[in-house]
Amino acid sequence: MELVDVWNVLAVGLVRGGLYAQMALMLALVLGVMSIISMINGELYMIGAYVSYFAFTLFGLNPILSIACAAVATFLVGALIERGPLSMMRRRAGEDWYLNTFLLTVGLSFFLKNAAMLLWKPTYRGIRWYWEGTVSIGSIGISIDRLVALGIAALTIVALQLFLRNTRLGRAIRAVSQDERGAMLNGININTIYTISFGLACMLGGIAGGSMLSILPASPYMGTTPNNYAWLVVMLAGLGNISGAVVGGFIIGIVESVAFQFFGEGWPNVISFIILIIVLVIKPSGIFGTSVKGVWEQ
Amino acid sequence: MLEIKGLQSGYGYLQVLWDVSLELNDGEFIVLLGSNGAGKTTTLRTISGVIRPISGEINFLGQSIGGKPGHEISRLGISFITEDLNLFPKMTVYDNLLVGAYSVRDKKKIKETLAYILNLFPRLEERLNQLAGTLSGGERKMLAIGRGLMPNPKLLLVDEPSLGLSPLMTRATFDALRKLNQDGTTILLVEQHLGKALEITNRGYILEQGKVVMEAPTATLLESERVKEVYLGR
Repeated sequence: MELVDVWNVLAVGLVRGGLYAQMALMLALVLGVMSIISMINGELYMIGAYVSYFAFTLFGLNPILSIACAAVATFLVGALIERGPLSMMRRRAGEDWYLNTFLLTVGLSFFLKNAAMLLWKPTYRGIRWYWEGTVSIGSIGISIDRLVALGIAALTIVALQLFLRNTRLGRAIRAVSQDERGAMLNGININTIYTISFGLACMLGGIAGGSMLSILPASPYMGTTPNNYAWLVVMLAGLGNISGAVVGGFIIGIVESVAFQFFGEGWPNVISFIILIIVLVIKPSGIFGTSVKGVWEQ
Repeated sequence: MLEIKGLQSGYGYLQVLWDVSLELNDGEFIVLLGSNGAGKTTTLRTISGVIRPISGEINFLGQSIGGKPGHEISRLGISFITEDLNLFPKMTVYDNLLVGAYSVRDKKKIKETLAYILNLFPRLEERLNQLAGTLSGGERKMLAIGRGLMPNPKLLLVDEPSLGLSPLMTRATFDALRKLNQDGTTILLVEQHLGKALEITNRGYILEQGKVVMEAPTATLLESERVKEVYLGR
């Protein structure tokens, strides 16, 4: 393999990794704060892609604004889902919370997929590019869109960490994730924090869907694969571990890209899941388990 | 300041408090005594909004707070230091204190209160960047009290501060509470460690099986036959 290929493989891997990291972060956030085993991650990603598509093609907004529209829309959808079915369930579920929310989000996932199918038909809606052209870094050429998608992924990940660590609201979210009664007794309205956390998590998916639009076109079932990968990464990294989810996302992205290059098209999934099985057998708490400190622990 | 009338409360079908009435005046330091299961913790939980009363009135500063959610009651000026402290173990001491000031918007005020608390508990200053989960039992208790003070509460509810502490630490904690009271915070203390509690408080209530059976200034309580018999074992 030539050096050019190595760089190419790495570039593709990083862009994929950025997507997986965002999706995994989304999952880690709802799992860590609200103990929800969420299965609708992919559908928020799908909604984000559609919103960006329509904003970009129908309304002719510029790319950044189109992606921002996806962010706002998915935050609102997330907040609505939390305020509606999830909070209704919270009042009743009690000890069955994990299983109930799992089933509820699976149901919502089917509902959203089929709603999208009904509204927008199964056709792929993609765009050729947000920004035309490629840039060459050293000996390889990479399209501007991929570079921007990676940049946006990195930016959202860093911004989320800074937000959780350094702001009043971020501290409140961490407080709720660690001790709900303690948070409530300090004047924190737990229901508000739930709504904001769920909205934020959904926004991560929406941004991912929007920023990847020229690479992965919008279609009703596009979210299934990213959702599976979010789970793969989170299980690989250790449940609810935020920093681990980011590192894990990039690892899987690069592994897939390498597998694609060496073994061909059918192999990336196989190899990722083989790695997952090996990790779960050897170290069931995930690669990072408790050794890497998540943002909750900072 | 706080007036409780005919309070009935409990957990689901298990009623714990039967017609409890209490009154706290501004600046008082009150102790709530009683054996295990008498309903002391339940009383504090009901006041702070952790559980809802079945019936009865709770008035705080002229406002009815019975049945309000906990975060609203906290914002009205009642801090509850629970028996198990409810700290955020994976956050630093500093972040724990900042969460305590969640409802305070004035940054200068937060700084002042923080300085006051670190002066009251110098140990916390040394541990400021350490995770709360790595603190010793005494330090954890100091942190919990400090966090409860961050919103400048008008009323402090403290549940069994001496639980699990060495005599030395217990003394330090009680001294801190006494100083807080002298600085103007009204305190309602629940305690089993009688001797020391009766020394520093003004007045006490005795709960038995969810009912108030006695109310008197602490000097009188110390002399009372009932207290001697049941709690001091004399």
